[in-house]
Amino acid sequence: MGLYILKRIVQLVPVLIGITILTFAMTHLVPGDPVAIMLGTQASGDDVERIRQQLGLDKPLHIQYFDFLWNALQGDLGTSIRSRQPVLSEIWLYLPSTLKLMTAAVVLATLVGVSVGIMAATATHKVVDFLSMGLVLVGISTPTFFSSLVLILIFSLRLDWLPVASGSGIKPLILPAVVLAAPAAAVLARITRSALLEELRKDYVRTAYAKGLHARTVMTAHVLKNALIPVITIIGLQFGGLMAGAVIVESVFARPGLGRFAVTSINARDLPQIQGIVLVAALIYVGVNLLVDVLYGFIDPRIKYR
Amino acid sequence: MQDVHTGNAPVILSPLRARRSAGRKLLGRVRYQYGTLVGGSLLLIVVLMTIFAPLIAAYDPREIVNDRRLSPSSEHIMGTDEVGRDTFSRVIYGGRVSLRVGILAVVIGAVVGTLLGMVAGFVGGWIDAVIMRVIDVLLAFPGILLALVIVAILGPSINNVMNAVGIEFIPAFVRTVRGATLSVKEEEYVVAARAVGARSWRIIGRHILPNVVSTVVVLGTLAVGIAILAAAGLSFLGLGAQPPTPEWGSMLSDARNYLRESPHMAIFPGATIMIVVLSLNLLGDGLRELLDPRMRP
Repeated sequence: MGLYILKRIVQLVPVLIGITILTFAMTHLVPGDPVAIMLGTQASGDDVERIRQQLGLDKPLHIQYFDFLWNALQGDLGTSIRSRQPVLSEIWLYLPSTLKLMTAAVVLATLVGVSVGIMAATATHKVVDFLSMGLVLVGISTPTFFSSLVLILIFSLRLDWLPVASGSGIKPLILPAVVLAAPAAAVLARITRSALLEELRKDYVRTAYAKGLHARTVMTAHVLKNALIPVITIIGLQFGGLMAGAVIVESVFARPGLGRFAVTSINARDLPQIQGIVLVAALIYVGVNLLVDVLYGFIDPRIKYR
Repeated sequence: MQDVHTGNAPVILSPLRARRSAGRKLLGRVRYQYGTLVGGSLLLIVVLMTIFAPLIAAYDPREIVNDRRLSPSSEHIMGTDEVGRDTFSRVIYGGRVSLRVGILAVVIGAVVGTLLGMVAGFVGGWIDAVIMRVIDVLLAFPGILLALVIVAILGPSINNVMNAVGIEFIPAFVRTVRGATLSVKEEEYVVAARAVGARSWRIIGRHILPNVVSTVVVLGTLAVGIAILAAAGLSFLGLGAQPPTPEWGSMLSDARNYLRESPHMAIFPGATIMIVVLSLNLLGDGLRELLDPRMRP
């Protein structure tokens, strides 16, 4: 198992280097002078020169990259142009809120998605199957910014059951988590259904029925165990979609998270801040998928030998 | 050319007739795919409405024509917005922007992705390794995060959103087309073409491309829906279409401040996006069943 994990980590090295190169290149890909764009037209020549030196833009390109990499490895992602605070300390400030929202959404999406998928697979071509697959299609097709507004209208403004804006406790988390979880739940329901249907066609299931086992026992003791393995990978991949969805959901519900912070940083053209957020988000995503790969190896030992 | 033999010899159809007959078979199967028919019809209605927008819309989408935030009535079937512009006209004209961005973004992703995917799969070696490592890096930026990065670099505008969403789709097309190319490459007719000395570009153009087109079409149809959602999402965040351009995402963004008093401002553009994406998903699913042999029962 140790070798398998090591192999996976080694495979990630080029990806991690690529992420740092792309993130570093952001400043240099900006059309025009990045410092002038960041500071706006009102900035004086001295200010532009000071920021240029602060960002190290006066050095050769490869030196700038190695400086960026070395500083990043030491936890220094630079200083925000807007707030003049260290980028990483600001990210730490906003990250917990996003992680809380995403954890709630992952749990909700998994519970709802897998349950609906099982329900649909066990009632193939029946009303329940058609209804749930219809709902899945609506879930995939509804933009999060529209479902957010509809749920706010119904549950906050009309019924007054749940708050619109963020706050402490569980209540303010419900609507954003539901909105964020809905598309992921829809995808998981679809995958669970097709994985179960594929598994149900296999020989060992026929054997289990031939032995006289009850349908429920076949499902819980045999089919589910095998069918849910690919679902775990999809949960990992959905994490990326949830990160992107969090950008919109946090903006609509005014949650002080990393997604909303990213949008305000982009609008302010605070490049060091955007670089930091993008780097942290990509590293989290890669880390989650590594975790899923390792978990997959534990659950399905065949994977380790491929 | 028509090779109809006399006597008892078998009748050989010309390639044109064979293609026509395959087309008829495909249409025959579509007839029984209700989802594809519903999706295709809904999409056709929306597309026609946006094409003939000047004939259908009663008002200029950028002009103030009545009082602010009027509820739906016979005069304004979707009401008016926060400055008094006709919402129905804005929804129809907004469709031009959203559909154009969605389709062109996928075209960018599909053209670049298909080319890179075919080259990576066919040529192999270090070229394949380099292309796939770059794709792995792009895949580490999930969903609209990559698009956000690109918009952050290029600056907020609807054209930059289109390019950003297009680039976001490149990895999906590269991976799918590379996989399809790898399997087509091993077919006997490709091996034969190589044996008679055909150049790589000719093999890619004449043999590989026609065989990966159906996969690209299916992926592209499903991707247009995702592209529309991504572009509208970025406009909703204020990073895409800028006022007074009518665009579904930015219309919803404007509407959120008046949700309690004038929910119609959000419901109509939101429902339109949902219907368009739903119809694209129905159409894409249907096409996948029809064109992707692996999905056929």
